[in-house]
Amino acid sequence: MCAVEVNKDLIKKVAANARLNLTDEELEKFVPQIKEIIVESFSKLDSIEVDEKPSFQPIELSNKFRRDEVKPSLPIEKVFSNVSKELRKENYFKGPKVL
Amino acid sequence: MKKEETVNFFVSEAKKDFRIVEENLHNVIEEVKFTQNKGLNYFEKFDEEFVLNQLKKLKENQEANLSGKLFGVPISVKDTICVKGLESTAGSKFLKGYVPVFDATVVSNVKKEGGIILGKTTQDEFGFGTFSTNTSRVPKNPFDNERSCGGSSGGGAGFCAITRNYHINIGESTGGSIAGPASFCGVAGFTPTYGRVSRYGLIDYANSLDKIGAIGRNIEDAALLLEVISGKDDNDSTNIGEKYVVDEAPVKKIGVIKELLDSADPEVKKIIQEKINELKKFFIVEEVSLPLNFNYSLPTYHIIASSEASTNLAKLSGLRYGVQGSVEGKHFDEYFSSIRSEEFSEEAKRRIILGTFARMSGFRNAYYLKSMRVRTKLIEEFNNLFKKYDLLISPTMPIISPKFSEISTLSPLQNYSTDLCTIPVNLAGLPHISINAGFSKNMPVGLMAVASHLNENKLYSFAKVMQ
Amino acid sequence: MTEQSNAQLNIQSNAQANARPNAQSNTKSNTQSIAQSNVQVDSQSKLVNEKIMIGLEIHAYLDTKSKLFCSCSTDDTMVEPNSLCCPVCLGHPGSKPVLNEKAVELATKIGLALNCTINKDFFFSRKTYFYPDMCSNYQITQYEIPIAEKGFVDLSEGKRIRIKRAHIEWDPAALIHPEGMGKSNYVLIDHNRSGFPLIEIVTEPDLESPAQAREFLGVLENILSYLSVLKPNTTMKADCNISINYGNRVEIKNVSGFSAAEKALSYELLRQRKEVSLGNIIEQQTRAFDADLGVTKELRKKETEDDYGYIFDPDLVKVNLPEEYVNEIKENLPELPNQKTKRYISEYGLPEFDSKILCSNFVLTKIFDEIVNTNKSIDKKISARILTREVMSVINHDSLDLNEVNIDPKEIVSLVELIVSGMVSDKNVKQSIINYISGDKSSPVDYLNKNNLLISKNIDLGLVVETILKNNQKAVDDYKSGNEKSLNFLAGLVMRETKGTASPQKVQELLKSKMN
Ligand SMILES: [Mg+2]
Ligand SMILES: [Zn+2]
Repeated sequence: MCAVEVNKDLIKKVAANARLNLTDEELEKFVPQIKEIIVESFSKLDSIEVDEKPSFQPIELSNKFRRDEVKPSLPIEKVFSNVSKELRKENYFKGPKVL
Repeated sequence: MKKEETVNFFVSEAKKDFRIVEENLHNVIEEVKFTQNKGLNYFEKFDEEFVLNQLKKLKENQEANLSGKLFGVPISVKDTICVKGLESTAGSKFLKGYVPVFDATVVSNVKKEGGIILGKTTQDEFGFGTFSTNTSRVPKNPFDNERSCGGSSGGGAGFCAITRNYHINIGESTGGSIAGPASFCGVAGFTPTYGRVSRYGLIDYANSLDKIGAIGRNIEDAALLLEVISGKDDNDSTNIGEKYVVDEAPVKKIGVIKELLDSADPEVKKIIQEKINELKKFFIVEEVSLPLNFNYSLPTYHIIASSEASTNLAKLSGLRYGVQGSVEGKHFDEYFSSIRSEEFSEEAKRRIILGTFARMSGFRNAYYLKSMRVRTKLIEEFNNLFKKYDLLISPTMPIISPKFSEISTLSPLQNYSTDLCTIPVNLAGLPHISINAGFSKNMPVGLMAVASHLNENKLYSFAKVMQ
Repeated sequence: MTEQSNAQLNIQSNAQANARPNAQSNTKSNTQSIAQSNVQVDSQSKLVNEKIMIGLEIHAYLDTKSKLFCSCSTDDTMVEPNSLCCPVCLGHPGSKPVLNEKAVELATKIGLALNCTINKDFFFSRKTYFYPDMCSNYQITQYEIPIAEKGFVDLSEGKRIRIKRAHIEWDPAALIHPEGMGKSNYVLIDHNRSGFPLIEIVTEPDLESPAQAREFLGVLENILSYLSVLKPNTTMKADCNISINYGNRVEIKNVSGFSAAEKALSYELLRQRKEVSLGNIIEQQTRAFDADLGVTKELRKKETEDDYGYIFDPDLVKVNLPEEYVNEIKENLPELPNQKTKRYISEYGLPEFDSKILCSNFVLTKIFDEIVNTNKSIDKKISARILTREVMSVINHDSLDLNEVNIDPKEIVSLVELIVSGMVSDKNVKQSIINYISGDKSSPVDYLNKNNLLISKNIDLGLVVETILKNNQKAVDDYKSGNEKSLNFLAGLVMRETKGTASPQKVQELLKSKMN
């Protein structure tokens, strides 16, 4: 059993972990909706006993390997073909600072 | 089904006279433009030049392509599948401007068989939806423009239903996104066994559920495309490496899934029931029950789907592709959070939150891991029935396509629950089809048939009887 | 300075003191910043009743040609930034990872060499966290079931360090801070190494001092060198966890190199002691090591373990290693340092001390083995001594990397043959090696020849000795009546006569035998 209190604080915490800022409006809207889904739907799983192994895929799949061989990488212009002018500096991607 | 209506017929004629290819393609292009202008929104963007260039190339290399199974056939592609050089956004404004540098395997397979990529069809953002309303270009049902095409492969199904020319659509199903819209639009939707068709180049919704498949005016067309796009691919680790080859397979015994039939709207149930009575002339038909799937597949599906989706969508952070902002002076948390909050739709945010929650420590065991175990049990329940039955059938959707005004009043949970019939089979990775079974209030009603893993041909044989 | 030389320095410090009293320890590591010199920590020191617990999480690059999940090259020497990239290692939507079998093979080797249990069934997980260096904002790694777990490594004094687990994961991109870490307004990202295969080796908190942590890293690197599993010219990086007296654990992230790890831990030890002495409680936190200042600093909190939201990576499938696969790798494991040390002792009669020093340095054993291969009947003890004392003393003194110094085993063979025949003095042997490694690099034998440091073949040493004895009867008599000093006097005369080329031992031997 998993007791869970779905409230603003929880949704805020989860959203922050997923790098989403929710507006007050969104929060007001989401809390009851998500509560409904978790309480009415997700929590149904509390009532089923399982000792089965997990199915990470719906059919048994294993051992897909690639041989250690080098194939050509993308030409540099393709690497940057989706990058805005602002986020490219010479042959580097530009990203936000980390400190 | 008249032989003349199938793409196979078209291909054999086209190989004799290239003008047939040109005429069909020009007609299809006119239809696309017409539907775009009418606001029916079956295509995300339409790039006529991109299409005509392919026609030109095919004309120049006719000889080399004469063995192609899709020689000159216009193939539309759900927006979530990467086409090199064509904007591929998965219906999301976050991926605006993303032009893949590679073709999805299914796309290169189509090209190899002489097919012409027509364009990207509209869908719910990232596949998140049942009505193709979670996007800016909402496709409208050809039978009633006030109603939905279904989702998430809505645009493809809508165009299949409206075109009077030869064309097939590559769709994608995570929880019913091929069968659902096929049902609402009265066309044939063919979803293969999980892993049968390479996912390489598919912008993921939920990787352990996603299946690329086909939507056509008839089962022959859908099966033909499925054959072309299926098969071994070393670029996708989950590919099972077994090509689907269209063929007949004996079908004797069919189970009607009682719970799903009973939960359908009376109108829908009536039409399906009538169809079942007809089918009894050809098959042994019995009532069967899937109590575990009926009770648990929805939460299990939504936990798995949202858990996987929320990690797939972590990729989208405004760097490298898609919408990008200005990073200077911004801390990464601030930059990622602001662009993600701006660019994801409400539905995407809801699913990201649900998925992040379900895999968070403290909840992970109770939800994410448990859902994976329950899935095993639910697959077993199906497999037990397949020991006795060749196929299982039910309505594809419990309702006819609703009006947009009705959809907007549904809560997210009610919304998710309309996939009740298609979710169990998708969760179990089982091949399934939706075939039109009749009409209610002038709107199509689809019948869904499900086979055990890798038994697509039982579905094909069954569908031919249905048609 | 490279890690290689560091490691050797650490291991060689005793031998070096023996061989060359004038040799100083690594000058670079002695020239520390002011901050570091303020921290007078003897990394061996431990307070009475103090319980230090150190655990390491070591990241090392596996030696594959292509990346872990895509076919881009891992050879990033002399390439433009972002030139080794594809949709997979750039995290493009629609791309899919496919596992490199070589990485699994190398990781299996490592697990076995570290005495681990190999988990034949394992899988990969997505560890989700947002950071500009992570192409998909999730790292593909192993969480629940690592490829290897529950092993150990033995240190020189017999101390056993338990290995908790070893797992495979992909490396993030490199971040460049154009104006320096704190000042830059943005980062530059180079995805060339994004997707490089890493092995992460996690120890139990069994290490009891910063010095022991450093020794462990050296021993570990040596084992990995024997296995030939590491990407050449790369540095192992360690996350260092330390607690004292069962207090909260502090993690120092991403410390690059052995000596840095020792310094970071030493600093942290001192800092924690100080906090405790002030009555403060050590907070559980993540810190970064500033190698220039020699201090650790608190890091802005990133995700905690709770927030990673691990899921099975559904783009990949489970791995199921057949029993035979693991057995075959096990059977073909190369001789490891401990086995080799024992064999040198039993097979070649090397002193244990020399054998240990040889075997604690993979490059050195390779040279030694080649020497033996070149001439099976060579004097192994002298050969070992030349390598462990003379060669290593120059390497250490000049802070060189043995990998980058070309030592031709054949030259050493020739030199050893001269030594055995008594044609060269120890002093000149030493000179010839210094010149070989740090001088004009001419071969030791050439050097000795050119500088007339060999006893000329024309000189009959016996004849010289006889002549000297004949002309110095008094000294002979003195010796015979018990004056040992006379022997030195006579030897000096012989050495002068041979211009110092004769081997002093040989001269003494001859003198004694002729006078008796
Ligand atoms: Mg790690
Ligand atoms: Zn790559």
